[in-house]
Amino acid sequence: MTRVLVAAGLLVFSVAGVTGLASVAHAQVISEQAPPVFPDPKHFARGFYAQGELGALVYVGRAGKFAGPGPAFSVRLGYDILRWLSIQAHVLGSSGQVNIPGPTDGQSFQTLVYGGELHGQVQIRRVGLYAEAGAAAAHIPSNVLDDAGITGGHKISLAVVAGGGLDFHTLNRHFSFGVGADYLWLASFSKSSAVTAQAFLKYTR
Amino acid sequence: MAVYDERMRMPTRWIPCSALALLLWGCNVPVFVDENRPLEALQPAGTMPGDDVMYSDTDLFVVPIRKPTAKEAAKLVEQQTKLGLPMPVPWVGERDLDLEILWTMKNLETTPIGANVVVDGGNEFGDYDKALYGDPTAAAADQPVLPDVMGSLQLVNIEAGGTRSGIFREDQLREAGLDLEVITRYPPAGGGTNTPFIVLERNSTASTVGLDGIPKGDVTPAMVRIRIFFRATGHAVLDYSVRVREKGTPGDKLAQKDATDLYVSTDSTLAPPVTPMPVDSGT
Repeated sequence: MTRVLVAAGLLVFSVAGVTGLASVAHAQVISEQAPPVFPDPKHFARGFYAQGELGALVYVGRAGKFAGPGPAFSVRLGYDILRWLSIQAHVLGSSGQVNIPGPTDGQSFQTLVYGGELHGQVQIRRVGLYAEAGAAAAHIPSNVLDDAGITGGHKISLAVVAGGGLDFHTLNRHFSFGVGADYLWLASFSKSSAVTAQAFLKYTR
Repeated sequence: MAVYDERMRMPTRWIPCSALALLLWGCNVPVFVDENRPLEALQPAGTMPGDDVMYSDTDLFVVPIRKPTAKEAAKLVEQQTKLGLPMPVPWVGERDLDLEILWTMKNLETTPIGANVVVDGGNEFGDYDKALYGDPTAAAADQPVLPDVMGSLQLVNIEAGGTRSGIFREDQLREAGLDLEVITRYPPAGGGTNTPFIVLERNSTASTVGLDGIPKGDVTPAMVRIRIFFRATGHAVLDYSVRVREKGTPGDKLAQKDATDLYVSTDSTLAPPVTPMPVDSGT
């Protein structure tokens, strides 16, 4: 009985302390609170993403004399490891025409690129500036460039890819779009090079 | 924050889908097989520059096809039996590949010339041999002018140092393959030596006249023996390339570069299985 009375007393004392004995705050608002940052990139989706691209591929250097430019379509699938760093798989397809004097002049050929890349991005509000680099296998299935000494019997070449661009967020947390350019160095195709320029739409899950 | 979930109004799914479709579209890749040699129309021996003579050159190009294995050869025999065909099923048929001939003529003279290119040839079983369709009783000057499988005898003008290019398309070579099947193996009843005139002057998509000798279920052989004739009124050169598009697995039947022991005969002429019978003109 004594214990119950002691416990009840302590409870009453505690409640009274919290409600009645606490000191009263007298803060005064003297300026408006800073508005939240908008748009806040922390609210943009992050994780797995898919990117569809439409642009053009242009061969440069020696290959540019014989391999004409053509439309390029590509897909990048990736994952954001950090807010500023991601890894991605890249598949590109392009169709161009050969410029070789002779019967095969004007014939079309395809360039396919299958690669893996690291993608770094600096996000400033809605705008993201990015750079990416990686390695790929470049594939020209046709032998039409053999005569010009470009493919020389090789159908697949190691490619080194590097590029960058601008990513603009739509304010839908999943979507952004932008423009970019990549440079491809093709080791086995007479050390040819190619440049792609593309516009893209990106969905991040 | 609802503002980060604004509805997207752009259709987004079609972009990766179309990219994938275009990549797949690029899978049927043609292979360009180089010419044996450029054809050079040279001045005939014993003539002088300015003489009214035609300069010419010709070459036989055989599409390089690997030999069938014993199992594949047995399968062709089995197929012939199953279809009830009187003649063998071809190893390389129009069902296996599409061919196209790309050519470029260059005038090497300092004056304009006229030139043309025509194509004859055959399939794996035999050639369209014009010598079989002439009139043995007529003098050389009175021989009928037999039609070519493809091309026109009309001369094309080429300016000095200029070039002209052209293509014998896939559909033309498919039609030629069908015509050659009639000429070499299944001529129409009573066609005899008139058979080339009956089929080569008609397109099977518009007229089936002359095709009645082909049995139902027949597999049309591809025109894999291509004889190119180049004629010009002056010194000129013709380059060509044969574009092969395999319909099945790429590299299945087309032989690798520099391969030897090929299937289709490279003999200058290949006698057809059926020899045409002279037609009684009734005169």
